[in-house]
Amino acid sequence: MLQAQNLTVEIGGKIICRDLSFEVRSGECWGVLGQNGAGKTTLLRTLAGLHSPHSGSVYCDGQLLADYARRELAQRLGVLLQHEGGEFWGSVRDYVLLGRFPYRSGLFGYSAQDEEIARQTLAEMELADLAQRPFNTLSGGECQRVAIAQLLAQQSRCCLLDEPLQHLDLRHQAQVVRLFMQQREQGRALVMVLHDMLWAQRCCDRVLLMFPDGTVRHGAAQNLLTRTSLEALYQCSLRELDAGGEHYLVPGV
Amino acid sequence: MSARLLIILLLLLAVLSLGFGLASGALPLAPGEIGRALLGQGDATTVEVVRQLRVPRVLAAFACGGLLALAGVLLQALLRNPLADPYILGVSGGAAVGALLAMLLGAGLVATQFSSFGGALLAILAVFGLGFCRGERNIYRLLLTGVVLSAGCGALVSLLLALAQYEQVKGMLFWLMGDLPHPEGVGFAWVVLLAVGLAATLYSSGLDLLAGGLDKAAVLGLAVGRWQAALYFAAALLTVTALQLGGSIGFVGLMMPHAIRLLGVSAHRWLVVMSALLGGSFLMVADTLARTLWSPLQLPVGIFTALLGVPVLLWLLGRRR
Repeated sequence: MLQAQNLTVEIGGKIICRDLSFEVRSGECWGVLGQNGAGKTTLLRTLAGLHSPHSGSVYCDGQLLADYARRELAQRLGVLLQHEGGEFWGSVRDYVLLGRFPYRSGLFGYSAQDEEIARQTLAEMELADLAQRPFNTLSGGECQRVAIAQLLAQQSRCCLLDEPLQHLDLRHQAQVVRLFMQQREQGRALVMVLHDMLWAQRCCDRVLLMFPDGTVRHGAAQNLLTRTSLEALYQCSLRELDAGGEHYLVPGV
Repeated sequence: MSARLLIILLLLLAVLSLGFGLASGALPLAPGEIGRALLGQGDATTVEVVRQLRVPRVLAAFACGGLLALAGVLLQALLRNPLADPYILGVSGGAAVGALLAMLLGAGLVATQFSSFGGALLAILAVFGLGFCRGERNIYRLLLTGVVLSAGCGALVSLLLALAQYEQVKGMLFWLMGDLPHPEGVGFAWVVLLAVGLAATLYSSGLDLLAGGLDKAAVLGLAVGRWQAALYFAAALLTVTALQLGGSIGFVGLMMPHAIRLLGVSAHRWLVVMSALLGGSFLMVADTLARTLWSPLQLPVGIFTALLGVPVLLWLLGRRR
């Protein structure tokens, strides 16, 4: 579904990955992990076609990203940005409806189907009560939930999620993860930048670890999410906890 | 206030401003007289005053106000900057240099208009060429190029004013302050206003997307580069058309979109139409006051747009917590 081929990515003179190749398949959930500044966001932006790689290529459904018209790409590839860098002046409903922008066919606004999808997504995210609120009056957590609702309304088959759980309380983290797991079961591919080891262990089939020395390793989550590799990744000591039959890694503070 | 109610109020305001503009002047007229004169009935002088003088003037004032307000909406979305106004990209500076140069050389009205149009066109192409056409489309470089070019044009305007004969200076100052004494080209201005207004309303979700951030717009399927270029040239066309009609009238383009936002409407599908309606009505009232308050002396309308607009906007800012 999404394929990186011999990707070398550079930002501000720093190479964040060299000759990286991997493929995200339908129904897979990938976690991208690394320290602050390791280049996770830049890698995600490269996969989204927002940052040009130094060399190598990214393919979506077998076609180069650059060969897609933006609208067509947006129907296949959804992106949750970490920082949106703008100001939206309309209501929450208007904001979620923008997720249907790639599907607009006529000149006269959104179709009844688009409106219904936006309404359903707001309901799924328990945001129906906020539908008429101006977007710029929301709290950080509410903004994040509304941005996720917009991404879900986009209904793309592959989603790139940059810190999807930022600003969310525990209840809403669980709600969002549950919704993403439903998406995965429906055959969507997910690539998430995560900092919380708990969610990485619970959700991801595969992980991509970006080490401080610029090396990148990827593979099955159960093979790579080990104490040794994560201590090398974060350069800090970790403790292992066993609870409820599951095995967790937490910072050894 | 709901958007539907607000648009009804704005339409009502437009009709009242139109009536105010048609009724006021050296020859005050009652609504009945205006109606008869519009149908070509009644006193010949009244018919001539209404049909030859006042109708073109109020239509020019409305079109000019609508053009400037609409240009403000588009530029604020393009530059994602609430302080953007139609003159920020140096278009008015180029037009002013062109117009004043023609006046200095003793050119007539038509030649002055051509010259100001040429100056504006040069400024538009220079800002786009220097600010936008070097691979990556950097909005800050575009903005800075416009500001720098405006400063350069400001210096040239001062030079031209210093070189002008005493009797030429008044005409130049009126042009610079904004004035609507010769509303030629009203038909073209209305065509531009309606065409760009309609297009901006139909594509308003694209404007919402652009205002929400360039990366966001791109990942939701907007061809950002093409949209930026289209918005830039649409705003430039609106500004040049308004400049040809009324010279450099300040305040309308910057403040009308803000006034609508302060009334609680932000989505572009409403903002475009409402700003144009408010800008048009506002300039009709300002122009009517400019030509009647010190009659027979006619003052530059640009003075009144600021004198009327500043207190209203400050009041709106004060009541919005």
